[in-house]
Amino acid sequence: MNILANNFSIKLFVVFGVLTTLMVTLINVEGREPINDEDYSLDNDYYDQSYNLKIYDPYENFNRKVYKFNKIVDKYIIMPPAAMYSVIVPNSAKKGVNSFVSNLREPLNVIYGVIQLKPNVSFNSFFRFFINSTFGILGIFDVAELMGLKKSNRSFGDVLKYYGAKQGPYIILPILGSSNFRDGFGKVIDIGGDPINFVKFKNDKKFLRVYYGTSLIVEREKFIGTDKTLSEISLDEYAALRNFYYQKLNGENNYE
Amino acid sequence: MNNIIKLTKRVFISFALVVMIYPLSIAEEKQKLIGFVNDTAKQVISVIESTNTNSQKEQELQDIFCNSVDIDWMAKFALGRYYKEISQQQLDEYLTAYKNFLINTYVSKFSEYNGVNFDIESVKYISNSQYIVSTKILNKKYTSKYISIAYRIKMMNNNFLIRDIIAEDISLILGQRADFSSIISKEGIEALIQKLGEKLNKE
Repeated sequence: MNILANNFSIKLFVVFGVLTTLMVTLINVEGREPINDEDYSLDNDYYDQSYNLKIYDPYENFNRKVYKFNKIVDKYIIMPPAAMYSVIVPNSAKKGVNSFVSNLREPLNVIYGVIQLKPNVSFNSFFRFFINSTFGILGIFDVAELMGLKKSNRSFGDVLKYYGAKQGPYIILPILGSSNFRDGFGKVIDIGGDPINFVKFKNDKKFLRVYYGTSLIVEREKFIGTDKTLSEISLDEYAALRNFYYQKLNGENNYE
Repeated sequence: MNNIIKLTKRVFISFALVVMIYPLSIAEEKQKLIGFVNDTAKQVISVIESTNTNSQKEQELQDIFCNSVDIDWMAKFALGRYYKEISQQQLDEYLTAYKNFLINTYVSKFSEYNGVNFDIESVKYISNSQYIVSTKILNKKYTSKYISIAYRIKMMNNNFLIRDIIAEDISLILGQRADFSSIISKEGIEALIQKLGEKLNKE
């Protein structure tokens, strides 16, 4: 906790977080309800009328350009090392890398838990971080999970949602992909608030570059195959992906 | 008065019968459905593991696919509201193109099922003789994580037909409808039919 108390940047981050949350709650990001552009009236026999997929994409033209850009960046810059990582590194080691990276994020979960007034989230993440960093050897092994402390990653988007911010329009973020205004903004805060930025390495730009590069590649590796399937099964990849994104976002079991 | 009592009795008895028989028949159908899913999976695996030539295998897998998937229904669903606007001739063309597209995309995926662990997790009745069968699939070759794949299955004339594949809570046909609608709204139905055809030639 000493680091927390002494570090001005963390304080600044927390204050910034609370302020934006309040701001977003007050102005409510976007006044309009997302439109429902799906028509399920073909036959009442299936896909119940109650199924409401709210897709709101007013910046489609722009998004499509970013999508194209991302595909090129992915093909030439991100995918080659990710494919190598996928082939060379055995599954068990990948698991270790994943646990290590996600352990470093636990302090952020503690803070988000506090902002959301959810002490159980904070305690869960606090103990996970403590146990995994020590007994789990710097977080390489997720020992806490075995002890019943389940991983639950929070994002700043969740915080905004908790305080009533609406999703806002669909956006394709450069490199990071599908999102919406709320969660996209949250993602920026997540990256900026990553504890790695504040502790010890905060002035080591080279280290930070390697860290972010590695996280990106690790994250990308998880989706190898999925992107190929997407382009195989769809005619308009952008539209199909957008629909999949909203299906996932709108939660489970909506199709029933 | 007697009549009323008789009538009440009858209503009561028939109600009780309906209540008793209804869940029974669903339970029975559920058992049949589990049989259907297991049989289909077994058929697919036996074809993949057989010593036939690849083209023979593909033909057999295609037959299994066409017999167990409600392709026409899926095609119409994927059209969404444009189904009402399409002419008969276009519809015929579209149905053929869609069928080829679906077979081409999914039958080749079957070979990936070689050596997977596969468990039926649950069978849920929804409505109108439709069920959702949830399965967990593990392909040890690629990952150590289970993937959840559910099938929406309709019972028709004592036959089961798959109408949707829901992978990790993402419905295939909802995605397809969005995909196709995007193309129809921008370029028209002819363009959709053409693109379905082009997709075949590419692979």
